[in-house]
Amino acid sequence: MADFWTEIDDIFSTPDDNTDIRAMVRRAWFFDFQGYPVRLWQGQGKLYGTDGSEWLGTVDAQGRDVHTVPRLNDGRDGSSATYSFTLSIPTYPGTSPLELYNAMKAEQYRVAGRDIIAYLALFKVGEGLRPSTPMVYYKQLTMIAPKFSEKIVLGSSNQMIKQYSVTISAKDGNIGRSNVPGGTYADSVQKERARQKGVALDRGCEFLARLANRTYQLP
Amino acid sequence: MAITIEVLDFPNLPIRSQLYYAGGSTYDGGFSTGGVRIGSPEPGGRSFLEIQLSLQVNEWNDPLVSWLMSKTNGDVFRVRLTNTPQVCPIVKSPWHNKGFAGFNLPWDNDQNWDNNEPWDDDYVLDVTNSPLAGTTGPIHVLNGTTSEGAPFGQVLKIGHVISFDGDTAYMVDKIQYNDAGTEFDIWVNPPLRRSLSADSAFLLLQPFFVGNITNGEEFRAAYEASNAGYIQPGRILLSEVIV
Repeated sequence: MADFWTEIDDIFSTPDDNTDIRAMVRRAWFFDFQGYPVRLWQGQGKLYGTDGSEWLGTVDAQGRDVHTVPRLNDGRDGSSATYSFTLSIPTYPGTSPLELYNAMKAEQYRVAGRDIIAYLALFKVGEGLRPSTPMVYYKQLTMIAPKFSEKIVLGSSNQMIKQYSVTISAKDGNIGRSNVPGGTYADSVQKERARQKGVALDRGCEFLARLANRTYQLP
Repeated sequence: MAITIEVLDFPNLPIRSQLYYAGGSTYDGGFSTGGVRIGSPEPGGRSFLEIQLSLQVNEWNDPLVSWLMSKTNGDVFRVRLTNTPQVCPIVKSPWHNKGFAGFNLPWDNDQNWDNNEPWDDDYVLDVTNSPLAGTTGPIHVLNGTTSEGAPFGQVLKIGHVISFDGDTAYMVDKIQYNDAGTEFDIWVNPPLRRSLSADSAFLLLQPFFVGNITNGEEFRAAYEASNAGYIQPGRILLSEVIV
């Protein structure tokens, strides 16, 4: 049960090995809603992680993924992109998607400020849905707010059906980097900050007030 | 609050053709070093059962096809697979005189029963390990013996379809017998939907498939006056459902 990146290295093999490189890797998403964490992965069926976690597959039998995930960029490019994750609420007998949709709307307070953590899962041949390689951390995002939408689509048997979907917007850790930091220099502020850091008295800014409206000519 | 899904018994209707398959799907996997586009296989997958009913002549007494054609709303059915070559030939198939007739239990004078057939049975085999849900195997099974004590031998092969108690059907992907032929390990496709327990799980050689009808449009046909009420429905495609 080797570590994920060790397995990937083994699959890539040596630089002068000319066999095909085949790795079955899928993304898994952990939505840490307050009180009700949800685990999803992009595939069919239930995935069992090595730590005992269960991840729900969002691809239906016809190969359609009901969970739309955006392409993830490297956040260091300074753009602080907003990522949108959409779940189209599927219909199945005995339940009402409208009820589920309304119930989600009523609980939307669970979203703000919580984390989305993306993992990668590696499947080796013959493992089925219980990979022996632990899932590796991939990216972390902070959820901002959900958006709810309904639309009418033409169903598979040519009848009109109502489709409900939930979209969550999220940003990565680079959010707010370009904000101007608030703060000022003043004797009282400096003394208070120093006191918070454990310094009893910091007189470094005592002459600051006398510097106001002064012009100094350097020779 | 758990959802209880009602599972209906698929009506016992004469059929013309049947196929179980679990083909899986692939995603675009990029290019190989040789410049060939390869597919990245879907690790999970779903199984399907295709049934073509034959001309139904009993609708005047029992309009089961009429009922079935309105059950395309996602209702879940439990279907007993007919004895095609996909089912281990433990009993004789009504399609072909193929089967191990000696496995069935005759009267104690070695004669057939009143219906002129030997006794039919659900042949079940014991599972002796506890494979977890999501794995494809190995599932360790004790091979069976006939009512007269003769061993089955290597009758279960790859390509046969089996199911476990209370569960849906799986394809035997790999099988390995021990030297004596009394025990074997199988690997299944798609992966197990439920964990099996060595104490209670058993394997059915005549499997059940649990699924819902996904092609209502194609399946529907009308009753015709020119056919005197006999009806030939279209192809039924059932997709696996986990209940």
